[in-house]
Amino acid sequence: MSSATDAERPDAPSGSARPERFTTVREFLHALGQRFTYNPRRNAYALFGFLWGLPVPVFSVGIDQWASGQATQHPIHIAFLMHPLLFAVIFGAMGTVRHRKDLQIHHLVEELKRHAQELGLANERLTELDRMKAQFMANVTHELKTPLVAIRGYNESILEERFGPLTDKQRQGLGIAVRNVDRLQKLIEELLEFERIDSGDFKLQIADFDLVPLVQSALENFRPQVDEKKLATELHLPEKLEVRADREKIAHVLQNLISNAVKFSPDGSAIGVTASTDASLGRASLTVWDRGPGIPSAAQKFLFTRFWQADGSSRRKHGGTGLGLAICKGILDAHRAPIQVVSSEGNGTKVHFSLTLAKECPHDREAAHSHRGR
Amino acid sequence: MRRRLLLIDDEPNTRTVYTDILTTEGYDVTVVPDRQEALAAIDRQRPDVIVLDADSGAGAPEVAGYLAPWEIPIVMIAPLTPSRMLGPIRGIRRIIYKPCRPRTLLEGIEDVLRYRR
Repeated sequence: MSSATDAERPDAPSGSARPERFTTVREFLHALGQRFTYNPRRNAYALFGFLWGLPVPVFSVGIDQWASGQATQHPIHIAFLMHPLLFAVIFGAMGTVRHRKDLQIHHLVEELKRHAQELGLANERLTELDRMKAQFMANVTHELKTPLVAIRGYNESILEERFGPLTDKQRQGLGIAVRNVDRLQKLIEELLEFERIDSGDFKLQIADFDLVPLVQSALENFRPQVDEKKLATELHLPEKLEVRADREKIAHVLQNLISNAVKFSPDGSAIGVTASTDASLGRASLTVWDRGPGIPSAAQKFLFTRFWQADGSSRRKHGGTGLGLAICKGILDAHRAPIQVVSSEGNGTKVHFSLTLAKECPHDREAAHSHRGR
Repeated sequence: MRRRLLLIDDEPNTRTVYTDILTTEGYDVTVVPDRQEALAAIDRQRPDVIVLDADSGAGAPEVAGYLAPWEIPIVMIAPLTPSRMLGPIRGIRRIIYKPCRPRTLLEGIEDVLRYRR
């Protein structure tokens, strides 16, 4: 009875390295000692056992006495007379074991039901939270941007001397104010973009486009900082590199990576972008590298964690929300494109990622498919 | 002759900003908070261009569609990350994203007016 159920139980305690038979025996022995535990099964089983055991003394001692005509005092008769009692005890114990197992199962089932209920409640709460968060994001977007419109609008209007001439000091002060509004706006954009990517709330618009001008314009955006830090820029790109991806999002990725490269390069250093293609795999690989301080290996596993920055003090020096790499990873994950950072302390940083090549010829597409083994 | 401009915006903060910028640029500006008032204003005096703020509670695309029959070019100011997808809408000639530099908005309006002539 028990070995079967023991074998079926999927989560048998791993501590019991002993064979299943022992567990059953132990339970049985334990049940024997449970004389005072009332349970209906025990009585029924005991009675059944007793009745079952009766034929033995009846047919052995009884026939013996009837045949011989007198009460024979053979020692074995005592054993036979004990037989029904023994059977009653054994069967009773079996009944107790059965009852206890049933109770165990019952309790487990109750617990399962309770857990299922709790999970259901938790799920409801999560769904509600999700909805609230989406609502919050929608509100926040509006609330954060509206004041910026007024602040920026007036700052820039006054700076344009729209409401009258300015003194040099006024112009200087306003210039700083406007730059800070810009910075604030970028931070808010970054945070909101990250939030959308994090919650997967966006769709990729895949198209074929040339990556080369995208890299070039991304680099151009940072021309002022590059010139200020006297950084050398090395581009090793083919003439044309057609990839299939979401152009705007990949532009964003490039912006983030180049921004990091520029930010963490000391003056006079160099940064660069290298691209190569592997036609057989149908992929284009890109590397954005710098010769900055690098990332210690202990920190590398946190690189793509949101809000994380390698060096706390760098936040004050370089600013930023620590979301750049998290956003890149989010975007590339959505493209199912791998991204990898190779870096060691003092040896600069290289960020590699790859994209799918755009296929011109259907024959190429098939070849790529078979190579990729999809 | 000063060009007439109708500004539809229900947010008081941004209303003042745009009004100031547009007035100092030489437009004759009428400001209304919603489309009912807009209709009344159009009836009183037909503007040369309409500037519509997408965040206004009226719901910009519907307002634009509503005003389309008057065939006045509309410039829409929209947030950079619109909460709803906006397809091409009849009557809207230009979309300017906010927060924007005053220059951008003004050049957009100039373009629309110039093209119309």
